[in-house]
Formats: sequence, C-alpha cells, structure tokens
Amino acid sequence: MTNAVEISQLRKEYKSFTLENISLNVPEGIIMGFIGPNGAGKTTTIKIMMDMIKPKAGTVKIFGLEHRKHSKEIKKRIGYVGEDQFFYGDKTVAWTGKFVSEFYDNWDTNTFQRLLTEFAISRTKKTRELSKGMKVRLSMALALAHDPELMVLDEPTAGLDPVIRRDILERFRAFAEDGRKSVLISSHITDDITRIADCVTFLVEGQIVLSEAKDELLSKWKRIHYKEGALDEKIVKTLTSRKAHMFAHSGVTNDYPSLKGILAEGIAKDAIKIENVNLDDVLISLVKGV
Amino acid sequence: MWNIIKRNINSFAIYLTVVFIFTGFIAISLNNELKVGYVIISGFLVILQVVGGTFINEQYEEKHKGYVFLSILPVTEREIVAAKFLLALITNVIFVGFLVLLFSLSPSPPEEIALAQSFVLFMGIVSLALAGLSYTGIFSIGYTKFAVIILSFLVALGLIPMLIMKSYQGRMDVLADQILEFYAGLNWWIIIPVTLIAYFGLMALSVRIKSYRNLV
Repeated sequence: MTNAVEISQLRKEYKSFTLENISLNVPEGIIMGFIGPNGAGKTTTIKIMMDMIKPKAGTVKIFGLEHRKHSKEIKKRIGYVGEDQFFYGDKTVAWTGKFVSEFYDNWDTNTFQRLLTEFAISRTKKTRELSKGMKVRLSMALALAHDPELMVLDEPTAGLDPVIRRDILERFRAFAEDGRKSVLISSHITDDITRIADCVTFLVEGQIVLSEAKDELLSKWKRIHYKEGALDEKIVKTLTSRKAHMFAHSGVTNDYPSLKGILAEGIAKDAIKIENVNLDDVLISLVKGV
Repeated sequence: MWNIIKRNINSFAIYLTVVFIFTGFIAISLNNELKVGYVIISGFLVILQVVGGTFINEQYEEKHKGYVFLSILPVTEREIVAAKFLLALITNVIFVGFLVLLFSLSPSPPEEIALAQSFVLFMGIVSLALAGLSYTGIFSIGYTKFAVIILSFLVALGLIPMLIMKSYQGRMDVLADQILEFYAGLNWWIIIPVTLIAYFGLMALSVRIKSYRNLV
C-alpha cells in the first residue's frame, strides 16, 4: 500500500512548545484520526504539511513529493478544511467559488454548485453572513470541488452542533469510500474520530505516543474492574487510569490479548470484569498515565 | 497570479477612476493650460493613486485575513507578492502615461510641457518607490504597525516644505529656479531603468521576507 503522506522525524521548536520527532504515514485509502489534547501539536503538524510553517528538521512527503519543493502541485491535490474559515467577508459565496476555482486545473463547477445546493448555502450570500457551520460547509464544498486525493482536516468540527457535525463527518467518510482517497483528520473530539477513522495517531505534548489501526487498538485497550486481591500486583502496576473504589478497583490495560488467559479464571469467578474503552479513555490514559 | 491581480484591481481602479475624473475636470476647466497648480496637483495624484491603492488593498487583506485564505490555496508567495507589485506598477504606468499624453496636448510652450512631463514622471518614480517600500514594510511588520509608522513619517514629511521655505525666506525665486533646474536636468534613460531594477529588487526582498515571516 502506498502512502499518501509520509512524515519523518519532524521537529519544530517554539519558546514554550516543541514538536519532537514526529513520524507518521497515512496510507492511501485510509482515514487517519489525529488525536491529542489542545496544544499537543496537531495544528502545527498540519500547518507544516500545508507548508504554512517551516519545520526545524525532518521531511514531509505528500504523494511522494517533497512538500516544500512541490508545495503548489501538492496543494492542487489536497482539500483543506481548518478549524477557522477565512474568506473575503464582503464577497459572495458565488464569487468565492469563482475565485478559488481559478487556482485549480481540475475544478468542477457542477460539483461545487451541487454541494452548495446539498449544503443549502445561498450563492448570493456574503461569506461574512454565513454561520460557523455554513462556513465549514462552504470550506468543504471548496475543498471537494477540485476532486482532491487527500483531505486534510484540522479540527473541522470544533464548535459545531451535533447535527452539522454528524453530517460533515458522513461526508468525509463517503469521500474515502472508494479506497483511493485518504483523509487526515485532527480532533480533540474523540467521538468524531471513532465514527470515521480507520487508524488513529495520538499526539501528546508534541510527541506521537501511539499510532495504530483503530479496531486493533480498541481490542487491546480494555478497562479491568477487579476485586481486591483478584489481580496480581505485577499486572496492577501495568494498568493506567487506576481508580480505587469501595468494593472494587479498576484500571486500563493496553495489552488485553496477552492478559486474557491470565484473567479468565477471575472473570469466571466474577472477581474481574472487562469493559470496552473508547478513544477518550485511551487519550486520558496516555496523557495522565497512572 | 492573474486571479490575485483581478481580486486586487478594484481598489486601484477606484482610485484610478477618481484621479482620471479629477485631472480631466481640471484639464477641461483650464483648457489644458499647464498652470503650476494643475501640474503639481496632478503629480501628487499619482502618489495618491498608487500609494492609496496599495494601502487600501493591504488594509482589506488584513481585515479579511486574506493571506491566511491564500496560504491554503495552490499559489506561491512569489506569485502573491508579484501580483501586488505588478498591479501597482501597471496602474502607475497607466496614470503617468495618461498625464504625459494629456500634457503633450497642452497649448502651453514646449519647454513648459517638457517640464510638466518631467515632474509627473518624477512623481511616478517616487510613488513607485513608496509602493515598493510600503509592500516591503507591510510584509515585514504587518499592515497595522506599518500604517502607524508611515502615518508618523508623513506627519514628519509635512514639516519638510515648511523648513525648506524657511531656509529660502525672501529668496523664493531662487528656490523655484532650483526646482525647475532639477526637473529639467533629469535623465529618464537612466532613472527609469534604475527605478525598475530597484522596484523589482524590493519585490524579490518582499518575497523573501513574506516567505520567512509566514514560515517561522
């Protein structure tokens, strides 16, 4: 499988924050969720990919091309939707579409018009009159109208209501359905990633701490509830997000398959219970540790 | 690049239309006779048209975060900056060319025509330099900071004519003669190419500055 994005040993330093040794591949046809708390470095990584900021070290290849040398060519093949949308506010939606269309060789006006209709965006409205949700939809229409091979989405659903969020996520899911197109979506709303991503990468304090196929990850990460003494102390020490309750204890393991056999007896005696975790739990475990 | 020029052309077009109408009105009312006031106002309109257009455009970009919008589109910093510089150059050439042509049709004596043409050409050079320096300054420190600095500079610049007048007190004829000599002695075969080279040099510098600022 070829990679749409290959990031290797990326480094960027700021006064109060450093993005360190980021290496990440986004294979073709995959939706990669990029999860991390606010300030973890997700936007910085994406801005480097989009050649909006310069890395201190490391390489970024998109479609096999070095991203800084081939910035223009790469951007023609990328659809980008950011957390904040910037348009010329006094211009209409139609003008904005026309303006953006002139930068792309394979712009499809029919697709753009169809998306505007589907998103119920008035062509004659000025962009400053659009709500946050409508601006995101306009960004999507602009990003999709040139038939990109890769969508780069930086917190696209932040600040949106659940109905619009769901609709937007379904569009991204549909985009990658043909197996050729890829999506890199960053979010701190893990529900969004759970809904659409095939793979997830966790970024914490400027470092990638985990990158794996989502289903595999969720099959490995489990919460174990156990009664006092039911679990070997060595295993207890490996658990994260540990909590002690009056009648039982709990903690999260990232290696459930190898513990499964050991825990079987306890499960049978009802002294141990296994609970599925979600990506939020994984993120919290990664951020807070024990 | 042309779509950025098209996006930016409105503000220059507005200024261009205003100065065309204004100059045309003066020309008609004076029968195109090259009175000193007419020539001086025309010259300053060249500066107003180019520098005014530049500032209006950059204020617009800042207000709408236009450069952030452009940064996600497949366009290079070089193309963005080149579009800005080219537009200022084109509108400058159009208006200065119009004035040179208009003055050439004047019934005034040929030496006065040549002097008036020399004056507006000089103002064209000054306005081009100001536009180039303004873009370089704006791309270096941002529109708002630069606008504050340039405003203070203009206030200071306003004092210069008063200082000159004071130093020439009682000898205004000497000052006038010196100014006339200055404009009559300008060698356009050297000044225009040198100005264009300097202007495109500022453009290259602006590309470097803008790329560096955006990528830090």
